[in-house]
Amino acid sequence: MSTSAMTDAGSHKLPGDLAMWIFILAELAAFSLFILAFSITQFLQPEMFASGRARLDGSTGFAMTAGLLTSGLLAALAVELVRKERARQAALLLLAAMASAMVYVVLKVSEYAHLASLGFDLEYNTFFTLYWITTAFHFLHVLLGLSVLGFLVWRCLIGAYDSGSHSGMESGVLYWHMVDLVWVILFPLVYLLGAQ
Amino acid sequence: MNRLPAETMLLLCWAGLILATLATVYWGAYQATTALQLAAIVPVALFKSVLIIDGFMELHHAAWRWRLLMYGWPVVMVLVVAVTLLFAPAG
Repeated sequence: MSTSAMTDAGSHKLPGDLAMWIFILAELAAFSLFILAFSITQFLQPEMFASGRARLDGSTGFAMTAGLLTSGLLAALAVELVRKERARQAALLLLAAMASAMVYVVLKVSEYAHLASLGFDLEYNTFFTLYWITTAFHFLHVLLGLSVLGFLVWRCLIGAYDSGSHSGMESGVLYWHMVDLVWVILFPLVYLLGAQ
Repeated sequence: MNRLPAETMLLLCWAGLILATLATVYWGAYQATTALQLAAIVPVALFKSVLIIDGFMELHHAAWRWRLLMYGWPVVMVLVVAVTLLFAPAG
């Protein structure tokens, strides 16, 4: 069900499909459980979490965040291009968005490999158990989001979207922004807050 | 009142997000008390959430119930994080 055309005198407009918004709310609820688990366990074991966090690199976290946010910008600009009947140029921007997101993917995989080589694996302690589960859950969403962006590139190239029909494009990009939104909360929680 | 083009608004949102992330990393690395860290980082995290929801997700024209749901999520999450950090028992 598309809500792109649902307007009430120009207001109350919800971009994308209603189903995508419901899916996004369900995803946010799922991430809430991970954030709650992380926070409550941190409440019970603050010293373990502070020492675990000290093993993580905040500057790498910044580069990952910048990669995701830049990717979000490029995807949002691609939607604007589709609204102006420039779907092929939108495909190029979506490809650039995927390349920018790959900065996050490469850095995250490097971080996982580095931590695993030092022995900070899933079973090392409670902090690292929650670190691996929470960030890997988000990482899987990034990979799914990249697949969605790739699908949107193909749809743009075959001319499936135009200024009057692009709610599928909006929905796919909304999912990508949800991944950004979750990371904006996860990043300080996992990498920064409470470090000693 | 003239409104800025959508592309300009998106670029401004992105610039705000990058600057806010830099500030977050700086304050996170600063060896302050947990309360000071929270006072600096939590408002910035909320600011970034607003930029994404309002700017990138384009919810600024949506019905208030949708805005409430979407803005409510980061607010509740940072409140949970802040309360559990502030009231954690001293080691």
